[in-house]
Amino acid sequence: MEGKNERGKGMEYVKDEDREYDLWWAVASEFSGIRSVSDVRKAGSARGLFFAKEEELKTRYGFGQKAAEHIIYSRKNWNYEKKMRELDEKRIRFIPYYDAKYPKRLLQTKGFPFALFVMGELPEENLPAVALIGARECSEYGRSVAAYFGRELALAGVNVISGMAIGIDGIGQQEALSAGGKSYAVLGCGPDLCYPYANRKLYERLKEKGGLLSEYGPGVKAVSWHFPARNRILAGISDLVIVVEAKEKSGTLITVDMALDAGREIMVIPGRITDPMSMGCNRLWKAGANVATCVEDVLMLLKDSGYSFEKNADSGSDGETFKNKIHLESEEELVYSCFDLYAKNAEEALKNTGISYQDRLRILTELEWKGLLREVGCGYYVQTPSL
Amino acid sequence: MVKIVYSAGLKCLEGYIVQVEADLSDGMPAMDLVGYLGSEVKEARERVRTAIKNSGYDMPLKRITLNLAPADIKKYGTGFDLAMAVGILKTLGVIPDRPTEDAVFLGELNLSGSVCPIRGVLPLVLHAMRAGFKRCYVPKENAVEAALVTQMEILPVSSLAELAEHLCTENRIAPIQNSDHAETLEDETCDLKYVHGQMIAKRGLEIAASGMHNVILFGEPGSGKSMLSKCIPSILPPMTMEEKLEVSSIYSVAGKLTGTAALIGKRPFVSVHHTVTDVALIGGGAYPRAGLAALAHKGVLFLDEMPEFKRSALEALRQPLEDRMIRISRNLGNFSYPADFMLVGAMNPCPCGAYPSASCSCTFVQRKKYLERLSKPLLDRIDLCIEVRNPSYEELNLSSLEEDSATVAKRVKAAMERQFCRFSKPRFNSQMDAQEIRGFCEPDEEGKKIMEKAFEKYRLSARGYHRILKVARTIADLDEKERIGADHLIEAIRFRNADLLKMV
Repeated sequence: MEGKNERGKGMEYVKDEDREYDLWWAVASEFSGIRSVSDVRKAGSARGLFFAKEEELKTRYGFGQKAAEHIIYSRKNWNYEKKMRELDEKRIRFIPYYDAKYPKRLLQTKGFPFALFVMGELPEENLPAVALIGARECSEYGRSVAAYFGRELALAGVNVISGMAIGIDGIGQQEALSAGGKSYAVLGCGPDLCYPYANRKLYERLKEKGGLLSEYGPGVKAVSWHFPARNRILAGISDLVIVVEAKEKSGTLITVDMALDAGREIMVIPGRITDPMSMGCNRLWKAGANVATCVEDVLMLLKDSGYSFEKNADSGSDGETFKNKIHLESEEELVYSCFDLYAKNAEEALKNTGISYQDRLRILTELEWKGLLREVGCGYYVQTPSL
Repeated sequence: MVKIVYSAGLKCLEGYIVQVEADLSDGMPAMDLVGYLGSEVKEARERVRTAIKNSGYDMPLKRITLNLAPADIKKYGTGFDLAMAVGILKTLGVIPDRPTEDAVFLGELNLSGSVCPIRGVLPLVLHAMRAGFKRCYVPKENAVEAALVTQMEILPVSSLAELAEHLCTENRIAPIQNSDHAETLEDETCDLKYVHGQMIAKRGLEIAASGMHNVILFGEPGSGKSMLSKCIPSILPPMTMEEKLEVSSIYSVAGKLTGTAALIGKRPFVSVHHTVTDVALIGGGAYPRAGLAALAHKGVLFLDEMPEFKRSALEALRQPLEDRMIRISRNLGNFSYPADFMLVGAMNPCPCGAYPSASCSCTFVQRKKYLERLSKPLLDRIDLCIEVRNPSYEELNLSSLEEDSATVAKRVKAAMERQFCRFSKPRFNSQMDAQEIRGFCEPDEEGKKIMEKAFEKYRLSARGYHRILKVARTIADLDEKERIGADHLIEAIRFRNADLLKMV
């Protein structure tokens, strides 16, 4: 409700020339974390802040000495035309919260950002969006599960939202794009920068087949405290948050808190109780989070929020497993069964099978080419998920 | 009256004959040395003068001039002392002017007049032989080494006085009998039969040794990478006499031949510490000396903890890996040492060593940085990637006998002979160029299908594709097959040096 009021109020004062001051504020308020909208509300408009005296900034609007100095400095150097040119050149769209394109889901959350800078597209309003998040240092299990959910959600027509980080985030988005779906990344830096740089291929693909969103203007570098703030947007534009892997004390859990604040459903992927990478997920589960063991679980929850899918989302069963779709010879079956989702050494795993060296090599290669096993280290293999 | 005595000098492993010309003339008493000399050769003036005096001969109050021809080659080392002393004694008339044209004098003098050993006697004597000389006077300590050149009469000299007397009266020094030279022998402790388990690693090393492929051993700390590597020389066939002489020459120049075991009989295994400098590894210095890579000639250069090496040291190895020679350029000219070695690297799969098991505590970035220390061009020159795994308790305590190195060496030798036969010269599969690969590595029908699939599945580069074919050729040679079959290719694919980073 609050969000709607905000929006109504914003619409009243917006005139075209105000856009200049809004853009200024969106760029200048980088320091303020998640307060930027309430600050504007106090001043009536960004224009109000632009012309406020230093004393006013401090006493009436409650800015500290440093913040006030920053605001004064930034408006001294403000050049609207130059900024607009930069946005144009970099093909970044400026979308303040009163803009009709501003994501409605986000607007409904507390502490929505004053404006978004967007490269590519914004998630479509009428399509479900699911945040797929998790640890950067993920296990092979987490990697496989993230890939599975990324792919299957994309195939079901769900937009996959994440933070483009190394690990779970990136893998899920990568797979979603590869499956022909759309994916959107919320960044902790300006949308024209690629952070982490290791994911630059994904970054380029997201520009084409999805979008890059950020509340930070072009050229703003990633700073550690940007990320918790970024996570609130991540949760805000999603209908649902899936946590794939998280340690007991994980940054991912901050996103979960943000998502709960925003009233989003949380789903977790359960793991072994001894596995440090699954501690966070299992704890959330115990605290009442939903459990997802297959994509149908997710689709069912989305259905409850009013989305419909062509795919049968009622079954909730594990469905036909991927492996079962492929016919395996008995020896292959035996070799396959010696592996699981955690990396295993081939020589050790197949020690007691009695299969000859040459045959082992052949079968391992065949299983790898059928996409059932993956070599993750010299001589180490994992099953690809047969969820 | 100019007297002429012959000596020899070295440029890397290449010898050249030096004509030492001595002249005695009236004038201020002095001794002049000319002939583009390094500082240690210039210092010979004092050594030679004092040694002659202390050997009981009077230095005349005359002007002595010595010239070392050819005068346009810079001379290094202390091996010319003896020839200079003999030249002076000849001009003094101490030694009768009997022809010494067929003899080469090598040796350093000390002040008391005794003869000290020098570096590089073996290649020097080898060159003297090729230049047509019949006799060599060498320091006594170097005599065993010099006697490896069987066609040469070697006369061991212990002091200048002894030599002078010999030259006056003839036949006082007995030529050394060759043939009873001692060889360094195989180290018995490095044998595959002492390595329990490690079936895959042993198989990988057998393939690598057969085709002289460069390898990387992957494994946790303590899993046995170093132990396995040390066994590689034991499964390579013994060197031919020619190879032994070549390797011994390098050791001689490096001053690493001992008096008792002058011939390097076993293949070298050179283990390099990761703090090595570029120069120590490939050789260098104002006058380039042989580095560790040259000392591994015809043997194994072992780099333990490969990613810990300095990037520049690893990159410096690329050139010798390509040319099987080390080329060093200085303003004095170009120097080259032979360096035809098998590169064996050992590394952990990640900084903590546990990856990919769950106990690995490394972050993604740490792993990536660790693996990225090996550059792609270097990895391109490494054909096999061999996993070494921590053996289980049962494997460690297995009572059954493991295959010993000699048995493996037989198979390796047979595979090598097939290769020599194919190339009609000593050449290995790992050295094949694109044209030879096309000619000799044509897989059978089933194999072609496998390669087509592998090419697509692993997105192989042209180089990666060729590497698999080369290794498969070696596996087929071990299997005594003329055509490369599907099984050979699959094994080569499993041992392939995949893009390590894709596995992160």
